Formats: sequence, C-alpha cells, structure tokens
Amino acid sequence: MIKPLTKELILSFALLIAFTSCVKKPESPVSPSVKIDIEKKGEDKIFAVNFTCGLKNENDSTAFINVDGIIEIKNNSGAVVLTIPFKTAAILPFETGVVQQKVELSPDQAAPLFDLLSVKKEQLESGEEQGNRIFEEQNVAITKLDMDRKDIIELLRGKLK
Amino acid sequence: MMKNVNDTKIYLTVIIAPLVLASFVGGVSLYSKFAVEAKVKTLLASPATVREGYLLLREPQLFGGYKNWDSDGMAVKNSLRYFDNKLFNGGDIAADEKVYIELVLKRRESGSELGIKSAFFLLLVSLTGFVAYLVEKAKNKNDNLQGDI
Repeated sequence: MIKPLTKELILSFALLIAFTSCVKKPESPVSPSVKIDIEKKGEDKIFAVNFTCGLKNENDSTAFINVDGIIEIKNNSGAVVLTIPFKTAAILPFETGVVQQKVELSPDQAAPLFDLLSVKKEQLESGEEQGNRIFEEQNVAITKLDMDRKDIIELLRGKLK
Repeated sequence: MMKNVNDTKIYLTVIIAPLVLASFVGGVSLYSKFAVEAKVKTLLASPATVREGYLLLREPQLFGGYKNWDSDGMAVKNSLRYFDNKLFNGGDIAADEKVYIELVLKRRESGSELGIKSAFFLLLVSLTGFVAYLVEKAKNKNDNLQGDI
C-alpha cells in the first residue's frame, strides 16, 4: 500500500518543483514605437528609425542578463519590413527593460515600413510629419531571444562584495 | 455479506496526514519567525548591514510569496524592484528608505503567521481524529463485552 503512495508523492513533488521553478521569458515587446528622422550621410539622405519597446521580466527571483535578441516588424501580409537586433545588459525581476535601438535605412529599404505606418516621405522631409508611430501588437514579434538567467540573490550578493 | 471496513486505517490516516503537514508547515514558519526574521531585524538595525538584511528578505517565505497579486503584494513588488535596482547598480540604502524594506519584512511576517495558524488548524484536525479514534475504540470494546455477556 505504501509503495504506490510513495510514487504519487514523488511525482507530486517533482511536478511542484517543475511548476514553481519555471522561468517565464518575455513573450512580446511592450509598447513598441518608432521615431523616424531624416539624416544626411555623406551625399545620401537616410532614414534613422529609433525603435523603442519594453521587455517585461515577470519572474520574482530570476534576473535576465546579457540579453541578446532580434525583433521583427511585419506588415499585415506577414512580410518583414524591419529587423531590429538588440542587446540589453540586465532586466531584473518585476522590471521592464527598455530596448532602444537605432536602425538606419535607405529610402528603398524604408518604403515598406512607411507603407505599414502610413508615413508620407515627402511630409517627413518637409517637416509636416514628426515620424512618431506606435506599432500594432500583431506587427511586432520577438524572433530571437538569448539570455543568461541568474538568481537575483546570487547576482546582488556578487555586487555587495 | 457486507465487507467489514477497517476503521483503524482511516483514523490513522486522519491523524497522521495532518500531523505530517502541520510539522512541515509549522517547522518552516517557526524557523522563519524565530531565526530568519529575528536575524533580518538585527541586520536592518545597523546602517552597515542593511543591504545584507535586504538580501535575506529577498528569499520569500513559503506563504508570503512575492508573485501574488494582492494589494499588499503590489507595494512589496515596487519595493523589490527599487531595491534590486539600487543594489545592482552599487547603491546604498538610505535610512529613510528602510520603511519600504519593512514592508517586505511585514510580508514575510504575515506569511509566517499564516503558516503557524495553518499548522495549528492541522494539529486540531489531527487531534480530533485522535479523539474520534479513542471514542471508537472504547465503543468497540463495550460492544465486544456486551456480546460476550
């Protein structure tokens, strides 16, 4: 009678540990937005796309360090219009790490992004358009996310030394 | 013919299972109250050891998890976010900020209190089972004696 009970107890304990030790990764960027500016690069005119978003760490005891990822902006047909590689030193528990990345695009490269955001190139050049836009959730996805996970107590103890 | 159920096993389960749980829950909570919380209070009392005290508090009590979304939990979360960031960037904890660490300590104390109360309740369940077992045993003894007569 005891043997099957032991098995159940071990299984329950293993499930409890597996459930409680799960680390939740950021699934989607928070409030992704861009500010598009025109810059001169030598003779050429380029578009500087300043992308900003947040990455939430919803864990209570796991810090993400050396975060390295790629965010892709897709148009409504699913074609990639902008790829943003980013790096963040650390996102501590309960914190929203800020990703700020500048991507430079030629007029041809910028055209699909302008279509998606309904930005008129001429208005941007004349100053009528400020170039600030917020992305719809369905147009933004994290396609790569590598990071080291570290226990917050261990991490902070290392800082106290 | 109806199968005779062995009541003793049921009573023993009712006595032992809550007793084991009470020992675990009570043990963890009493350790938290008299060992961890006492040490945290000592560390927080001195400006030189406040950061050590905070690190000790950073490990939540079994019943006072920092993930829970209650109203007190939000204040605790904000405090943790603030102090984690401060310590990560090599900052010190100022004397007037200690009140926010005490919020985290209060969370741990509430967790311990809940654990101790739960252990007490489980002990009562176990004790009730034990009394019922004794009553049943005495009743069976009387029934057997009357049967013999």
